Amino acid sequence: MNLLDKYIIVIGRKLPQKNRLDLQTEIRSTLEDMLEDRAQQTGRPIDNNMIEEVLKEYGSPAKVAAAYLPTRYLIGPQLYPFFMTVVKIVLGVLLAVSLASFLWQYYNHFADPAFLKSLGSFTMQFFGGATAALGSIVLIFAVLERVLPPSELNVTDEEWQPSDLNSVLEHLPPSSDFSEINGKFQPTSLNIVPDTEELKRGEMIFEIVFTLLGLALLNLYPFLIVNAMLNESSWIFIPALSDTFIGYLPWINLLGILSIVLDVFLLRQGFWQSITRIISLIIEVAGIVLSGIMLSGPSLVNFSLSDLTSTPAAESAKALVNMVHLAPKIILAILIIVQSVEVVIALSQLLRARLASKRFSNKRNS
Amino acid sequence: MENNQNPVQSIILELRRGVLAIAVLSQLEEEQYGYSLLKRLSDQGLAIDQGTLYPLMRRLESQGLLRSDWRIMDESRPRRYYLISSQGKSALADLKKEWSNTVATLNHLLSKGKE
Repeated sequence: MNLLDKYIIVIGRKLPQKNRLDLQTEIRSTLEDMLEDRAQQTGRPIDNNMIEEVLKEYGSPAKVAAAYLPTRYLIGPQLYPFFMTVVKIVLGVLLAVSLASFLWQYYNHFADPAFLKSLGSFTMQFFGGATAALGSIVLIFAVLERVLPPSELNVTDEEWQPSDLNSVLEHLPPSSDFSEINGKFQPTSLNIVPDTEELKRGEMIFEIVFTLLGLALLNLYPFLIVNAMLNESSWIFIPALSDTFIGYLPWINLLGILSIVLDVFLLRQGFWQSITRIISLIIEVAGIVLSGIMLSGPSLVNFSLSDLTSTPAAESAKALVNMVHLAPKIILAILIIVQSVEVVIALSQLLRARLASKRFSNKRNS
Repeated sequence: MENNQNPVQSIILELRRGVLAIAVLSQLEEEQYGYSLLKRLSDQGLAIDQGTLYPLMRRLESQGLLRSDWRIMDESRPRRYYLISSQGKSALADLKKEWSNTVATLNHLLSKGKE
């Protein structure tokens, strides 16, 4: 095996399997042409020295192979702004919740000698949690980068509507220097009919990412959801989710997965249709029903008076237990309100889409 | 000085990269294999790096502007021959017009800059 064969093999290792042989054959053919040409021009025989010269000119195997490969991103420039927003929200919430929980535990105990030690372990735990969260987000976006069609990742003018400017103009001071221009041109006067079929890509991506994160937390890391209490110098962690909650998990998973499948389908399709709106409505209503059942059923958390007998919180134990049991119910009640509002909005959009389509077909017929 | 050279070099590179497709399409009215095209362009004053030319021809082929096939001609070595497609011919006609317009516009702009 001569140097040229080895060079072709090394390049092949860096090329995609699909057209590797084809590219290798073409590169070999070109190199042999170059060698032949050089031998003719210089009157020298083709030997190892000449091969070495030509290969050096042709470039390193990595450089040659790279020229045939498309630019690949783990998270491309189109998804990167969404990625950064999700990272800021998730890390911000994680920091706020962790800090609040830590301060609540140490309220009135700052002079405790264990405080500094616990502060250190809290910091380590926070960075551990933040790294895990960041890793999960990167993983989800990396999958989205590969799953979404390139057309969906390209930012086009179609996604921009002049009506988007309305909210910006509302913040201009009335005595602005632009008053004269505003007198001539009012973007609001463009009378743009909102496109009821339009899909908000950002919302879809956020929904997919947060649903995946929620499902991953509930299914893979349920032990991370704990009631943490300080007992003298050590922390007590009690798994927070009750068996009742775990019983609801298959239904939560089903709704979450349905929602993700619908969102990915919508992202690939690029617009809403009546059928997708109806499916979305069914998922929302099923979510409300499930939240209602969970709200009216037994407690969703594990927490009893006996867990608190040896902690500083024992004095206010009863109130604390009630609060911990009440918190998920309050969250569920808020969720039901939010989901109901979403159902009303989705219904009105469906109705508007139907009316617009009817008006359009009437106009076309006349 | 070096700082001033780099932007110029990168602009020249971009400029050349933009016109390479037109140059390649223009030379493939009769079929050529990679190295013969490289030599032909180089002989006419447009030296292209192999690492740029071959991926460019692949891209033009995937866009339907070129077609190619492997053949063993006078020697035992197989070579991939490229030829402009009918779609490529129509694209080349459009590109020629665009090139003429761009050159005229730029000449106009540059001559105005001199005044």
